[in-house]
Amino acid sequence: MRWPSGTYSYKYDEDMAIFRTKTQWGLLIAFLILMALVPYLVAPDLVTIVLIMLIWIVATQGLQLLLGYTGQISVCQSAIMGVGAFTTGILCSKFAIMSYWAALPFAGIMAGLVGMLFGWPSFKVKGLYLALVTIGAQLIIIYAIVHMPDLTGGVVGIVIPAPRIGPIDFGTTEWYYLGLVMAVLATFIVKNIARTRAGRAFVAVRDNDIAAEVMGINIFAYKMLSFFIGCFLGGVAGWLFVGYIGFAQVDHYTLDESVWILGMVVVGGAGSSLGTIFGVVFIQAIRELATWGGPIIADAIPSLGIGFSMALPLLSLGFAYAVFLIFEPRGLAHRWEIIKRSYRLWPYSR
Amino acid sequence: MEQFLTFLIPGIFVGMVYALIAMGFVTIYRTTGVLNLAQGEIFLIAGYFMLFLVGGIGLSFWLAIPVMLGMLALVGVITERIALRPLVGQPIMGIILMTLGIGAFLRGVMTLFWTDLVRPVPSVFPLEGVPVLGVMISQAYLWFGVIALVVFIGLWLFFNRTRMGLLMKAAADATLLAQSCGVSVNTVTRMSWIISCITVGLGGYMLTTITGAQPLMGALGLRSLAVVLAGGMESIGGVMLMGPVVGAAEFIFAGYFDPFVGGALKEVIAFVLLIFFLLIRPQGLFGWRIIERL
Repeated sequence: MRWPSGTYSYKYDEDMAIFRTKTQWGLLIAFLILMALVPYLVAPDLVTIVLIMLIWIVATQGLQLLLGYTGQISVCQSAIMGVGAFTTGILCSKFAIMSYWAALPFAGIMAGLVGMLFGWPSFKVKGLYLALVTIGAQLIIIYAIVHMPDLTGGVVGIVIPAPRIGPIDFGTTEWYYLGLVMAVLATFIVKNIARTRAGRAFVAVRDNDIAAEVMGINIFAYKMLSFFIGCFLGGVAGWLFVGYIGFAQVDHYTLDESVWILGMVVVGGAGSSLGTIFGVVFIQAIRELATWGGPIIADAIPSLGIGFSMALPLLSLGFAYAVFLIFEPRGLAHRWEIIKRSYRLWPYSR
Repeated sequence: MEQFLTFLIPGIFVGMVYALIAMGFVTIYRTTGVLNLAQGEIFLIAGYFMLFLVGGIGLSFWLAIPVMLGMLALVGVITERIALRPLVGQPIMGIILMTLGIGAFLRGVMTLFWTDLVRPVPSVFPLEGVPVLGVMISQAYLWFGVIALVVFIGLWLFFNRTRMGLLMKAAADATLLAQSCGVSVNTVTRMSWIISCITVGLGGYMLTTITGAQPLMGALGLRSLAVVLAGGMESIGGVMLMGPVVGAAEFIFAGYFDPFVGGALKEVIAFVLLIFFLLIRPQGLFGWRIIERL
């Protein structure tokens, strides 16, 4: 981490602080206030889009911890979201044994446990083999959800009664604030876990697992911990998503969605919790633009055929993967660091 | 017993197609160390090419099949050149992610041209039943077996008896050494992508004649990953042996247990087997046990 010139650390606390200077605190507070004012500043459609981004941030921070910090490829994050979503549905709608709010820890823990189950093979295999296990996990989880209709409602899914706190009805604005709190919490958690003993162990496992083991890190335990926390956040995102849209349905949690979430980590930059936010915003913006612009382009140029509007989001996702992996493999977070540095060094930067 | 055979025999033949697709994985993995997760999409696109060539512009099958294989080779060359060559020397994780991105892109291409409906793929194989060991199965299955065997023998000869095949083995074993002996690693990589795409496409065409093609069916092509892991990532002979085993296991499990779980068990059995194999013997039956050093 590089600080502006003239910043000296006199105490350990100062050295460890994420936000060092008054400017940084000011910018952070300004940014949070701006985010809090979004529902009053922009059109309702845009609020929904930002809310969806916030939900994805929660899920993607989980994957960031798993992929970016621990180096375990997981192609099943959206199925894990599905686990959280259906756990919520089963607890607060199917059996109606608790309120939507009380289901939060259960959704997270259930998702975390399922994640650990499929992370289990990581004690023997790693890297590309683990990618295969998680592809399998994605399909197996969805299969299990579809084929337990007594519990999950099968293909039809479960309708969630609109949650409320006392007199407050949950409209888009309320969901937006809940999403904002969750996204900030998820980012805060991941950012801080990365600075603890566990976080350093994660990074050691990522960088060289054999060396980490030789140094006395129990790599299996830390991989499991990483799977648990990563999938816990996935489950929380599922809980949030299912509450907002009002029903749990298996179509929202496909292999395709997992590839989208991975794309967010790739674009944002693996190994940076700030990158997750960049990645989610970038990929979601592309996706919304493509979904919105696809039909318009298809209408203007009919010779493109009816598949065009459906194909455009996927084409742009594939394109984003290629461009970022080839030209900026460290993601937008790295680009941001470069911009910051050149701003600080101005006029001596290029 | 009768019922067991009705599950076992088609399973074995379909398993041979899985083996064929698995050979495509192995070819790329052996020469470049890349696991191509876009294989499921390449598998599907073969079916769509046939749909286009036979149903769209009306070529006869005997003309359409070579043209399709040529188009697949082109897909392989283009993918390798545009997406993967710039990543040479990057960490393997980036390359795996790239193949996922390629998969998404190909899915987009398929949706663009053929929308997301299930399309029947024109079949060249006769569908009349023939008895095998007292079980009536479609003739198509027999042809699958024959073609898979022919391709297997062809690939085996290619890797062990031709100059190009040996160069590919050399490049896989010791890339730097091979390069300093004058082997063009670029050519070798391109060649392995061509071979892989053709093999996978052939298998893809055969299976899509039965199932039809739909852009999201890529997971069908990924089922053969179980075969790859069972046989060993490096061994073409191993996957040829394990293909029928996995195929048969899939049909038998699905046949006996489907009524209890509400059907479609075939979709996941291969992946359950895959995780199982990874837990028991990660390098597969005939793979190399690679000892890692610090």
